[in-house]
Amino acid sequence: MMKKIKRIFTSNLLFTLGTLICIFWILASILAPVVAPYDPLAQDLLLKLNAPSLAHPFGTDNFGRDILSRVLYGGRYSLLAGILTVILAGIFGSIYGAISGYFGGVLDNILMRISEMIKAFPTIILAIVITSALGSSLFNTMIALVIVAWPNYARLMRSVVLSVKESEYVEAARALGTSRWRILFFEIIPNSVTSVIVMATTDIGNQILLFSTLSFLGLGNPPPTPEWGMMVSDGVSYFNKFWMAGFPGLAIFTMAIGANFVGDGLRDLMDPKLRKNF
Amino acid sequence: MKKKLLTVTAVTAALLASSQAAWAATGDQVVIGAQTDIVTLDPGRCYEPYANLFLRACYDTLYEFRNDADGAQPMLATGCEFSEDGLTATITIRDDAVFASGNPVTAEDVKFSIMRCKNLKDNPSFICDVIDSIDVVDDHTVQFNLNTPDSSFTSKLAYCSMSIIDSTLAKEQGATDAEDAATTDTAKEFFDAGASLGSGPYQITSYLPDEEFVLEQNENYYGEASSIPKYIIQEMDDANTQMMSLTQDDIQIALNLSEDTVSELEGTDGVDVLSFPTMTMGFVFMNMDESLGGPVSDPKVQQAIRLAIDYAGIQQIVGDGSLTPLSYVQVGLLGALDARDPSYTDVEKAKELLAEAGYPDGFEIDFPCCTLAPEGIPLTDLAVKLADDLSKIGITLNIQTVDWTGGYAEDYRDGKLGFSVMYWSPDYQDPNAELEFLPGGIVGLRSGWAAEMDQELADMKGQIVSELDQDARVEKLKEMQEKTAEYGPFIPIVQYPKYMGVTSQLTGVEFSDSYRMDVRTIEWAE
Amino acid sequence: MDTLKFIVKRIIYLLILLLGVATIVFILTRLVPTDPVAANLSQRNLSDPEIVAAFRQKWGLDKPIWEQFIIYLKGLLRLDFGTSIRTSKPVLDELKRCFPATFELSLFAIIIATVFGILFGIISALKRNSWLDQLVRAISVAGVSVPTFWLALLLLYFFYYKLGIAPGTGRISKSFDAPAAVTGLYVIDSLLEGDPAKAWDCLSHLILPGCVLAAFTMGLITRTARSNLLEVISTDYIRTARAKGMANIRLILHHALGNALIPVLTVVGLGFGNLLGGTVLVETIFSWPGVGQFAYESVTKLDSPGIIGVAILIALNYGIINTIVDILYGVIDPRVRSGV
Repeated sequence: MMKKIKRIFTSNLLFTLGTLICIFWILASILAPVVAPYDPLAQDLLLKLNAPSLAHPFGTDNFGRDILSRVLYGGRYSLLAGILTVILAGIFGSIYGAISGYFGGVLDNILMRISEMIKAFPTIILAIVITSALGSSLFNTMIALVIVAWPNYARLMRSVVLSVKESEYVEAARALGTSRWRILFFEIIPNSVTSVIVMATTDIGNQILLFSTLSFLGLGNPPPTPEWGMMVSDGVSYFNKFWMAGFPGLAIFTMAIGANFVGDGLRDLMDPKLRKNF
Repeated sequence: MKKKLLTVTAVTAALLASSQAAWAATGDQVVIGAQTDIVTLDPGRCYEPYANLFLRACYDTLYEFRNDADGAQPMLATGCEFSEDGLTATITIRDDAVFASGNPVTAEDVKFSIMRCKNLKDNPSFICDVIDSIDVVDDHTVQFNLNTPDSSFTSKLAYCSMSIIDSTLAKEQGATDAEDAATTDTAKEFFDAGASLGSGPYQITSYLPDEEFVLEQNENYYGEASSIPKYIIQEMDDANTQMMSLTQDDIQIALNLSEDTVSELEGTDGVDVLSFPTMTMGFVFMNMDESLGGPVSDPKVQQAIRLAIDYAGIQQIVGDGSLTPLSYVQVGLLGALDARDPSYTDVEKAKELLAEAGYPDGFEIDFPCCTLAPEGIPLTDLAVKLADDLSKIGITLNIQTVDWTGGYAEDYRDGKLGFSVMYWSPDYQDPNAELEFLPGGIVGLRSGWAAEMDQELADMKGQIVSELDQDARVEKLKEMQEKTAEYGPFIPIVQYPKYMGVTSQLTGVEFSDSYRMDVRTIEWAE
Repeated sequence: MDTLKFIVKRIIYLLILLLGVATIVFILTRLVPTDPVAANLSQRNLSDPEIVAAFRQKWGLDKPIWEQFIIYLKGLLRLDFGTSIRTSKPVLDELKRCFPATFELSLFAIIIATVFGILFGIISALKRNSWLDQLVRAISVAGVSVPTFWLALLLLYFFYYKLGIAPGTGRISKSFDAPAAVTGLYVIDSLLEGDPAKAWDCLSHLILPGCVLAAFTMGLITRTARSNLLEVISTDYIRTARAKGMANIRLILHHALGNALIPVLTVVGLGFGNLLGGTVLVETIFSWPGVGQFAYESVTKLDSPGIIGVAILIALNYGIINTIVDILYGVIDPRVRSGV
């Protein structure tokens, strides 16, 4: 077993890299209070907009706050938003898609049209409208993200369920007289879940990006919370002090790329046809 | 394969670089990069600050503001006489002014333009509220019938929506000054297609909404033409883009630079950086109604907060060239007292006052803040600084960002906000516009400061407005400011600076609060 | 006959989709607890109840919601999208003004993304697991992971400001006038005008924003191309052909690519549809007067006719492209048609 795991890592450089990056950010987010050199909210106007130095490796912002500390703390929001969104959208979307695919007919048609309508909507605009309605906060932004994300899971689940419901063990269960709902929840969904999980892991990176875009636009936790997207948008006003927007942007980039490497790798792992490539 | 790729890249780069040269400005036109908020070119409907930029270039007004003189100066008018009771203002008009069309500027045009502005009931119409009606006495004399005496009347006549338009041509395009103009006037479309009907040194020749508009010299201008035949005002939202374009000479004037871009431009050859204080004022407001303001409705707490704010720090955040006004009359307006000394801050005294008021350990309070950014500085930045300052005396602010359109505007207007920060700039360049902060005024009521709460102070508004003697008016203004320097639910905390970048080839480029920038003073340097 | 039925069915679905989108947007804009009044009147006028009432009446905001909706639907049937509360111009005109800009940019971006995406996909599949493969995969994942706004700022900073080799923002340099509108695509219109210098100028303005937009889609295309090619390569059909001695690359080009291209087509279509929605961020940063910018202004100023207009336009694009892709699928693979 250990040997197999070791081989997976040594033969796939990108997957390994991605895993390391993700571990780094998870640790940084959890350990921020211990590791961060300064209080992310502490202002010192005398040190306003200082370039990176030994005392402040990532420089200071327009309030004189240490950017390294803010970046370390900021990881939590992006990670949290990415993971939670994927979980919530995944669960809701899967159940929705499973019901739609299993019961079929008119119900299926209606449910799918509704999900298409939501998908047809430009993500950012929908998110802006939703957050304006609910107010700016981490929670509300996540709700907006979930609303925009679930149709993809629904569609995937539905197509998997469509193929699974014709399989032998389902027929056997029907023959035994099991109710349709029990079949749905105890036979079909458990066997369809793998694809959704794979989609979910590859989606985390995307949600992190989307969340940072929304917080760049000013939706999300109100200041002075050190959210990365918001830090980049603050940094735009001080564009020539490249460290203000540069480092948080880099953080978003590395976290997203790490999550995507991991997601890609997991997907390759789970795909029997490509598994030979390992 | 690789070699080919390399050559392609090299050629592309070379081509880009060579066409770069073609982009440099030709010697006659001046390109201005600006982040304007212009929504219409119809003078009777313009309210946005940047509309004044082109209105000043294309139209004349009865009075004008010049950076080199205090108060409104006669422009199309040659003089203004008030009757004894102040309810009639008789204005004589110069007889040599002509419109770009060749039509002479007459009293009829003046009456038409101003009554139209009033009857359109659009954003700037409030400025005509004091005017009941206008009589044309003769071709060059107009009589305004006012409903109350108004010491700021000539200032109002300098306001850009009071631009005098060519009524003959305007009527052909569906303009009307009748009572029902709000529903019957159809000239807006004509103006918005990219046209002007004024008597100024320039005309609008093209307008691409949200992209650019073009001003070209008026051949029939009756005054002295400038050396610049054409202006192109290009929409550029971003200070960095403006800075980059300025250094590449794609634009010659950048109107919306920020502190950051200015520090980058320092020392660049061929480019001058200018900074000016504006009349845009950021202020903290607290609700006098206890059910809305909670602890901050208490005057002692208000004064404690006034003492706790780090004015010097706020100036640093906002940028070089900013200052703190003492009271509601911004530095630069007629009758303003000197700026507040930043050393006014006294944290110890603030803590004492707070304890006296019954909050020895401070308190926690919600702080809704809208996402507007006057002069490019987000109000939320001020909120973050305030939160830091107040935490030093034990007050914890829960900053809540609210969109202006997301409910903040209504709550603010209806006086429902407890504790927040906003900005204000005078609608017209006269200290009377600032009297709205007094109890019972438009802004006063937004903090629940009703006239009855301080009738003496409230009455000062009427006194100042009807005081037609300029010196007496200034005295009263100073008295009002002294009274409110350490009292009241408003704390003005900063006057924003404005940064502009100009090519060294131009002279006469200055910021003007009334017009953003007065194009009439700009010339090519010799 | 089959094909016709198929197409008609798709078009009906499209219309239902559009209706649904319009309804949802309408509801959303009314649910949102804000007021176009606040967004479009000055601070001073907000306090004047007479002016507020006049504004409401002018825009029909004083009628009950369902009545407003019916009025709007009636307008839609006449192809009248209402008048923008923000600019007082017909929404249809505004969209006609913005759309060509977004279309040109999206077209440019999708071409770059597709060309490089397929190229990288082929390289990656051929040199599977080599360092080249890892590099290509890294690049494509990077494309999908980079925050658009950050990349836009970065490219602008380096190539325009620091190095001065890229033109500034906007569609065309100040020294040129906009070309006479024939297609709305500046590059083509400039060529039609017989002005190649102008055409080149417009093209160069497309490069930076185009690359930013292409990054994401290219990543997706590479990934899809690669995985589908790998799948096809490992089939018996190809192995037999290889056994017969055909060279690798010819194999790919003649046999594999055709089959692998179908899923890639979907991704390209989806990508193009997304781009046509106009990216708010890229258009703002590059001062590109397109649909994205219009949408953002409409949303922030609560201009519901504007918002709904944009939503319908985007849904229409999405729907049309989906339909075209589905039809192409059906044409290429007859098995698909009967299954719908």
